[in-house]
Amino acid sequence: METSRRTLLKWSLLLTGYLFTRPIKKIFANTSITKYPDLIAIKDGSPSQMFDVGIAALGGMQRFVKTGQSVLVKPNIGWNRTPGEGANTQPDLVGKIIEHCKAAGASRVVVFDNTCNEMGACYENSGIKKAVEKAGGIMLSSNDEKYYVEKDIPGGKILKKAKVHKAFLESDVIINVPTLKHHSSTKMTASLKNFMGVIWDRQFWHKHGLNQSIADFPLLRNADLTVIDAYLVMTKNGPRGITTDDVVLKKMQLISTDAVLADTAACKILNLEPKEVVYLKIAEDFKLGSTDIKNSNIKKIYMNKKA
Amino acid sequence: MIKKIRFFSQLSFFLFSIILLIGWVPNQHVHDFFRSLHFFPTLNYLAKFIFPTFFYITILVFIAPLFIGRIYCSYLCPVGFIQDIAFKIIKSKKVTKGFSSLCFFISNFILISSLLLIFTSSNYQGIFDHFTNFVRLFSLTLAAGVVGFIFIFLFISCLLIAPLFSPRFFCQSLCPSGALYRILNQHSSLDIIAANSCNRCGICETQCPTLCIQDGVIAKEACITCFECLESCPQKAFDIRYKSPWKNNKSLVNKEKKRRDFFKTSLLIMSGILVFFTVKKTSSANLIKTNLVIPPGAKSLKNFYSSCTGCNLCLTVCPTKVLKSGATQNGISGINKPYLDFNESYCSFECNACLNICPTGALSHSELARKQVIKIGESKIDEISCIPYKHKRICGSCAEHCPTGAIQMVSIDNVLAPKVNMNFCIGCGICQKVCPTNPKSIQVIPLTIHTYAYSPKNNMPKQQQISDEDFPF
Repeated sequence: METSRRTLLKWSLLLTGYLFTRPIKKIFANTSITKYPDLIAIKDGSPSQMFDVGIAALGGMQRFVKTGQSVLVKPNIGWNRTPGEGANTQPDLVGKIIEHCKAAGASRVVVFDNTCNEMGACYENSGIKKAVEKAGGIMLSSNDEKYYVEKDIPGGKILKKAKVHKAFLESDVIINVPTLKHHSSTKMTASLKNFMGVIWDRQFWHKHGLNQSIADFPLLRNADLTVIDAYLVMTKNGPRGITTDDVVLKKMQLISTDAVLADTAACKILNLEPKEVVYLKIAEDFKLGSTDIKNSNIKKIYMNKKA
Repeated sequence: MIKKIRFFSQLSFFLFSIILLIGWVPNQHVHDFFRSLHFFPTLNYLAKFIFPTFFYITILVFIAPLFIGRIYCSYLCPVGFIQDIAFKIIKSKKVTKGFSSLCFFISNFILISSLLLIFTSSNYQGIFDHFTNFVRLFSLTLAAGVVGFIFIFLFISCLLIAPLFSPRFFCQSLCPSGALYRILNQHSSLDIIAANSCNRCGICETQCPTLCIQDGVIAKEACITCFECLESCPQKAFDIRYKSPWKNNKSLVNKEKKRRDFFKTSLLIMSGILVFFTVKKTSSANLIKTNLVIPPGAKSLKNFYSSCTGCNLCLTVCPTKVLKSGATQNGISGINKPYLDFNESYCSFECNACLNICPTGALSHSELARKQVIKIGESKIDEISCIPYKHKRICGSCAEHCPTGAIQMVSIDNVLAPKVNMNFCIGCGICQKVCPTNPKSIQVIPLTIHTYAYSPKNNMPKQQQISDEDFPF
C-alpha cells in the first residue's frame, strides 16, 4: 500500500484535531455531561472532613458559588448552648463551608440566625461566631426588627407575607446548614424548619399553623445547597435539649440541592416515617422537592470503612 | 496643694465609679470592693448575719471617722464631688444656724429610721442613701418609668440646685451615711482649732467648701474635714489637735446645751421607734399576695423587700432586659425594686448575673447550677385559649423553648398539646414570652416564697429515637 502525501496530511490533520478536542471534552466532563447524585450521605468523619469529601462528590463549591457572588450561610444558632450539647450546628462545619465559598471566589459570606435565646450569648457560646470570623465570614445582627423587610410569599397558603432578613433577600447564593434534631411539635427539625431563623415573627407561624407555614416559606426562595449536620443528633427533648443524654454521636452529614429530599433522609435517621413529618408532604405538593427517597440517586460514602 | 490633692482624689474616684457602673468592668471583685466602701449596702448583709467579702474594709471605713474625720465624704464620695463642683459655680451665702440645725435633725431622723427599718419587710433607705441614688443615676437612665424618673429628678436637683441655699445640702440633711459620719466625726479624736495667731480676717470662712467656719471657730457638725482651711489661712493659725475619741472638751460643755441635746436625741429615738412599728404593721399586709415575679435568689418577697434598696444595679447586667424597675404595683415598699416582666422578655437559664452583682445581698449569691433550680414561679396553661386545645392544631412554642423540659407535648385528641410538670418548672417565663396568643395562654404565677425545683437531669427518661443503621434510607 502506497502512502501518499495526501493521506499523510489527512491523517495528521485528523490526529491534531482529535488532540485538540480532548481538553474541550475535559471541560464538559465537569459540567453538563456528568450527572451528580441527588443526595450525598457521608458517615464516620469529623463535620469538616465529611463536608470536604461530600462537596467534592457534588462537583465542588464552584458549581454553586461563582466568582464575585455573595453567599448566605444559614446555620442553626437558636440556643445559648455549647457545641457538645448538639442544639446548634457544629461550628467547624460552618467555618469549613465559608472557607470553601471563599476559595470559590465569593465576594462576601454572611452568617446570621434569628435566635430563640439572647443573640449575643448564642453567637458566642455556640462557637459559631469565632469559627465564622476565623474563616473570614461576617456575623450579622438579627435581634432588631429594622433588619427585616416585609415580603409577599407567592402561593403561600397561610404565610402570605413575612418579614424576612435583608441578607436572605440580597445574597446571591443561600446555603442552609441545619442540625438534625427532634422537635416537640413537628417531630423533626432540619432544613425546611431552619428557615424559621430568617424571619422576624416566628410566633405567627406557631399561631396560624406551623406545618403549613414551614412548607409555605421556601416558596419565596429555596436554598441552593442544603447541608444537614447530623454529627450530634438530638433524639429527644428537642429542639433545645436538656442534658447531653438527649444527643447521640451519629457522625453523619447529608448534602443535597433538594432540601425536601435531605429532610426525608434525615427523618429516616430519627426513625420517623416521612408521613409523620407533616410539612414534608405539603412541601412536595408545592414542588419544592421530592420525598421519593427510594428512586433517588443517593451516594453513600464511608470516611473510614471498618475492615 | 491640699485643694488640688482633694480635687484629684475626688475626680479619680468619681471616674472610677462611673467606669464601674457603666459596666466596663464586669469583674465581680471590683464591684464588691466598691460596695464595701459604703456602709449602708453592707449593713443589709449584716442585718441577716451574713459577712460579705471585703467586710473588713467596711469596718475600716466605719471607724475611720473617729480618728481622721469624714475623709470619705471629703476626699472620695462622688455625690459630694458633684455638689462641690455645683457649689463652686453657684456659691451660696452664709447658711443660717436655724436652717442647718433643722437639716441635721432631719438627717438624724432619716439615719435612725434607716437603721431600724432594715429589720422590717420594707427598706426605705434607698430613697435617701447616696450610694443607691448614685447607682440609680446609671441604672435607670435608660429604663426609668415615671417613678424612677421622679427619684432621679429629685436627686439631681438636690445636687445641682440645692447648693444655692446650702452647700452640700444633700450630705447634711438627707444622706443617712452623711449623718452617721457626722455623728462619728463630732466625737472624733481629731480637732481643728484656731490658735491665738488668728486675726479674724475671715478668709477661711469664704474658702470653706461647707461654709462651717465662723469667727475662727469650726462648727464640727457641719465640717467634712477636708483640711482646706489649714491651707487657706494666711496666718497658718489652724492647728490639728488629738484627743481620745468620745471625750468632750470640758471647756466647751454647756449644761443648758447638754439638756437640749438629750431631749433632741430621745425625741429622735422615740420617733424612730414609732416609724419602725408603723412600717412593720402596715408593710407586712402587702406581702401576702403579689402579682409580680421577683428575681431568683430573693428567697422570699419579705426577705427581698427588707434588703433591696432599689439601686437597680441588676437591671444593668440583665442580658435579656427582663428586669424592670417597679412602680407602686406592690405598694410603697415596692417602689424602685425590680421585678420580672415576662410579656417583654424572659429570665435566661444560663445566667446568674443579677445574683452576683447585687450590692445589698437582697439577691443572695448562687452558683449557676444552683440558680438553675430556683423556682420563682409556676407556669399555668389556660386550656381555653391555648391553640392546640382550642383549634386542634399543633403550636408547641412554649415546649420548644422550655429549658428544663417541664413543658412536654402530650397527645390530646390526636393533637400534641402542652402540659406543665410543676416539679421541673422554675418560672423562667420563656414560655409566656414566646406564647403566640394574645392574651398569653401560658402565664407564670409568682411565688411569694421561692422554693427549689427538681434538677432537669432527673426529668423523665424517654426512649432514644434514632436509627441504628448506618444509612437508613
